[in-house]
Amino acid sequence: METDYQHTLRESARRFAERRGDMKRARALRRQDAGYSRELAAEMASLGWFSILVPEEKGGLGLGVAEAAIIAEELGRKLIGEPLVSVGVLSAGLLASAGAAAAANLLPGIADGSLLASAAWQETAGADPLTAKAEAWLDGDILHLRGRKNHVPAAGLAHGFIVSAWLGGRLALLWVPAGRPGVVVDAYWRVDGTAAGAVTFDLELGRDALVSMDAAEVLRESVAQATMVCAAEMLGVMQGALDLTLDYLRTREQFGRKIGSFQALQHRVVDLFVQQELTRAVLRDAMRLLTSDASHNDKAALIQRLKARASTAAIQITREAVQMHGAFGFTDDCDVGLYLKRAMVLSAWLGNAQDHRRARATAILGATATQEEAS
Amino acid sequence: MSDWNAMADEEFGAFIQSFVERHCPPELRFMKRRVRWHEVRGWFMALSQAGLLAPGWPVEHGGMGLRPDKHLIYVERMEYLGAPRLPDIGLNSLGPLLLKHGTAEQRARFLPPILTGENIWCQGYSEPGAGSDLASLATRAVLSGDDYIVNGQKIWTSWAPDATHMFALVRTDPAAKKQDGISFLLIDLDQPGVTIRQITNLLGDEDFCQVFLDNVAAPRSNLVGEINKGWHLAKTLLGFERIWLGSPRQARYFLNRFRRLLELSGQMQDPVSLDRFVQFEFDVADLESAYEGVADRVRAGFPLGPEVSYLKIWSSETCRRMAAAMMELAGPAGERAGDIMLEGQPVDVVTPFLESHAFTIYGGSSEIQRNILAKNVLGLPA
Repeated sequence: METDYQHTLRESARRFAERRGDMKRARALRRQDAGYSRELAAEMASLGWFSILVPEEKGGLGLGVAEAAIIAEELGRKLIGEPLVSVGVLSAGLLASAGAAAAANLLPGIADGSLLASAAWQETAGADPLTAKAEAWLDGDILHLRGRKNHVPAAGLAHGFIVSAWLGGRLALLWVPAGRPGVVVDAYWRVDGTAAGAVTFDLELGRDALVSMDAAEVLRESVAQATMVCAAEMLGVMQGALDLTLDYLRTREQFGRKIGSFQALQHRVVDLFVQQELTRAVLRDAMRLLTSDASHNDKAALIQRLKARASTAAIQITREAVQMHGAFGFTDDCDVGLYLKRAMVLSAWLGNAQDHRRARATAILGATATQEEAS
Repeated sequence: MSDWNAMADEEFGAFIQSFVERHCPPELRFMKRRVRWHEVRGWFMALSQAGLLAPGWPVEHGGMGLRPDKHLIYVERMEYLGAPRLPDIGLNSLGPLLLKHGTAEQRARFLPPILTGENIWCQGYSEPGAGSDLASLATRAVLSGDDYIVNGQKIWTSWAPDATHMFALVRTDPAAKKQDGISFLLIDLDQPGVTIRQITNLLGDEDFCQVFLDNVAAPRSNLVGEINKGWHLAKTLLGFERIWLGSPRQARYFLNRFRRLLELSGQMQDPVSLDRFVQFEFDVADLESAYEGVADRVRAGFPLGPEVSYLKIWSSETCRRMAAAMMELAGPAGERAGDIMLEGQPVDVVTPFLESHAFTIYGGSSEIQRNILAKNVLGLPA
């Protein structure tokens, strides 16, 4: 059960979302600039929401992932989540944990929303940062970086990238300002109209670009945290879609009655409710576990399960929302389409259900092999 | 007599565990089928004599007076240890009802013999013509002098062959709207006019029965609550006990069997089978998360809302999916009645498959649960 403080935070995030969420504006912003409202992002920053994970002594709110999740969920209901998870949780979390002076210099810009810092860690499918292949090496005072990163949020607009690369046998983090020769962005639009891209790095930097020499643990933890908060945003998205659908079922009339009185639709929408409540229950467990000192493996296993459930539920609910709105649901005018597309993007990012099932299967086989060796 | 509620949770759980290990015969634990009275009587009496039979009853009526959080521990520990299901309809259904709605005289007459095992109760609700639509029940009770004379039949009655008494919903006013013409009546089954016919289920077990009532008498003083108010009385019966219907215990048990089947049939490495297993592992673990969320609210003293129905839907339907997947994994061996041998180990895929059909039917079918959620939680129109 939530603390009083968390409850207050939730209420204020909900009010913010209700006041500032605007589907018409959301539609208009698609494939423009970052694909989300910079103005809204600035407001969120001024509320401190991009510095939730930054300790107070570094100028942040000094809260935790649970608080970030609560805010993300409420914002998700009105499709105004971007860029809370990518910048406010992942980038901020990485820099706050990195410890180096270089990182500390970047934090104030993240906190006040002026610095759009994108984490460039992912290369292949799945969510294991250690599968990166990008390499860095020191040559006197020159730091070389070479590699290609995929699924980088707002790649074409970022002021800089937090890049993971193998340096001297350890996974390091580097800060690479955008616009440098040797940084080539292959930008694309995501289905929800937000910006992303692949980024190829082949350049030389100074030693001060090094944010952390040994960041494997920090990366895994930050990615896990971002995944959890992403799942929280998905819970908001699915709730928003379900609420729209229930409203429609209660008001739309055909054959002389409200279509919500048809048992077939009632039963299908109940199944959507079940998926939503399962997501909520797993998120609750994850919020507790991630803020405890449980083992990394236990946390990883729970995040796999959470993201799998959130992805399955969000896709199922938003697809059914389209179906239940009939032909209108298939138009761009109908808001459910916006929810469907946001669900598609959030489902694909940071591992979808299949990705996480595969990761879990690998863990099971690994554990079985270890047991067999031991016996 | 101890103050159980003051005990630390772990100490209490350990006490229950130790009692079961000392007094419950091993052959009764983890039984596949429901036990009969003559088999479980010794264990029942051991609990009775130790004052451990009625965790939810107040202490002044011979119960343990457990608060919800300790009550949950009691039940969960019993389940964990595979303690057999007792004839507990009197303990869990009638007892609490009489405590809440019975007269002092009814409590004095009927509560003690539940605890001594002298009276074994069964529940007379469903009829051949009244299942999901229970309110349409037709068993008739007519007042004649000082007795109600009852005619009709009940079905799906568990424990009937061992039962000495039945509590029944009967129609006392056929002219009224259906829910407003029903009364709650206690019936002594030891009389001519009571005929019990055992019903064989798909597993070949005779777990439940049909009970025919021909001019069966019940004194006026056996009417619980007001006449024609029995339906509403019966609805208040279930407190947080409804949570059990969505317990993850059964689903976790099926999952363990699925895993065992995967391992013994050498299909753990098969990516398709392994992916299915992982999906089920997630489904069961998510159910456990959901159940704990609801249990937390119960422990904190919140009443159980109608949303608890979703636990029953998810747990029973996940069991069905797992049972079907196990059947597929077994391949041609799925035709055999009883155990198949894999790597020298007996594996039974047929029992869970057949059994799982009951989960989505009893305790309010999946369809009824969805109706309840649609109306009471999602606010959808009739």
